[in-house]
Amino acid sequence: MASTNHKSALPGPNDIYREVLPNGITVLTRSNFNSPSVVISGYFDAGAILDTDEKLGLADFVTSALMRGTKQRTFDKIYNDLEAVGASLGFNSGVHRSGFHGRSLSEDLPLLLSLLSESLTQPAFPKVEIEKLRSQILTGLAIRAQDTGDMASMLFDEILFKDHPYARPEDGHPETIKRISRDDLVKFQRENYGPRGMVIVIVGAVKPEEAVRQVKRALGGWQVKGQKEAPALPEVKLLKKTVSKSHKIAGKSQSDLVIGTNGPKRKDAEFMSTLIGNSILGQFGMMGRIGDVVREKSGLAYYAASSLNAGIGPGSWEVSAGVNPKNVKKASELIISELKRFVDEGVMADELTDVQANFIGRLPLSLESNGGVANALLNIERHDLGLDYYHRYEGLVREVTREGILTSAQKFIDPDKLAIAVAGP
Amino acid sequence: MEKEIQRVREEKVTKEEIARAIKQARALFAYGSENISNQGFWLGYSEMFANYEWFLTYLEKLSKVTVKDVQRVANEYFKPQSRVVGVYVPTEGQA
Repeated sequence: MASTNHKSALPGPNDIYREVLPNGITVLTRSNFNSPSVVISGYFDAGAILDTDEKLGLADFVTSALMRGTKQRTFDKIYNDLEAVGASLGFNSGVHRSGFHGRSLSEDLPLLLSLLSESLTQPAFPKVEIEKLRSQILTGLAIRAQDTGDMASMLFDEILFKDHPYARPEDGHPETIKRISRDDLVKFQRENYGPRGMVIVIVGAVKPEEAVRQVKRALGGWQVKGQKEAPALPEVKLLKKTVSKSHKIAGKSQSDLVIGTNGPKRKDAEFMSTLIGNSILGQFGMMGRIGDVVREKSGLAYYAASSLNAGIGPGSWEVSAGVNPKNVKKASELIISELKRFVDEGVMADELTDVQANFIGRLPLSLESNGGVANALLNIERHDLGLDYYHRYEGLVREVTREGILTSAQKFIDPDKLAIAVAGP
Repeated sequence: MEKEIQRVREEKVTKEEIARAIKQARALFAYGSENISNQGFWLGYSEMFANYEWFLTYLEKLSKVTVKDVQRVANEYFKPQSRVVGVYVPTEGQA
């Protein structure tokens, strides 16, 4: 089979190099000399889960401020140095971790790693830049408050993850952002940033030993005594009945709707059958069954699809749609009836075959670029999937059965216990 | 904007500026050549206006660009009479 031949081109134990440095940083590299470019990507243990309710958005604020100036370079110099060589570097934050991503010509990898190191270990948090950044964050939050999609999604998380850290938006609220001082940024970085739990992936035109040598030079000496650990994740309380809430935004011509439930963790055994089931439900082709029924056949939505968000903790399995405000009720009823059909009847044999072929066929395309391979390596490390995961992937997809999809659908989706969130006029 | 366009036509850009631009173009070309889909695009696209050799020798040609070349091209294309300017004007009475 052709699939056996291209398997050797997929990342695996034969060409991924992994080393844990003495200070705890894990380095994964894979060489690709087809082009003289290189990607670095990674994460470290400092996310919104460490934020207090009063200063929610602090972890996110800190990552946004890291490149606004370091002890060695001003904000202007950082971006001038990057731009001069056509490189890029940026930070982002999530609930559990914060991350970074950059690319350059391989000859400029030392510059990327120096900037990464300076930003992580010696940010200057210049006062003027912090205030500019605060204004930008507040503007972003004002835009979010006017976005029906964002607000429906936030409301959905509040219902589904009541009293759980996942209920909170990582970028905070205007009042919490206003409370954050420069001292808070400094303290957060000092107490929470450190090499333990940090992962750096380097993919591109550099040999593994050279990549590791460069990481050691830039960050091998980083030591942080008493680096804080994230608090344990509390259990999610499952809904006992359907809970619907709506949020009004005056003057809008569209309503956004999110209907869903809790999903599996990434490491759960049902993950693959749930992922394939979700594709049939609301992804494959023109957004699966949901897209077909709600959008194509009934013309009720501008978009309609389902998504599965599985991470470290239990995620969500949700259907979202953008609809004319007068069609909210009708679209909700159609979505719920599709969910009922999904848990009662499962999927058909040809639907499963199509999606399995799609998953297997699109894998090499997602691994074409250095960025794609870097994401794959991060996925392996983040969820402890094993260096041979992408070699085993086709088998894992083919193992999924109609019965497996039905069992996992029934485990996670109860059409009488849904979270329903609507934002609109 | 007008001033900067005029400047690039009348004054010579510096060697350092050329080197910086070449480096940036070299980096962008490298990112664009990473995956097979993009390589296919560039081979096909270069056949449309030249031939696939254009893609293969792009970096070599790029490295030969001089200060004089930049000024010559700026004068050829940045003529006021070739300019098309678009302006968005807010509708009256609307924010």
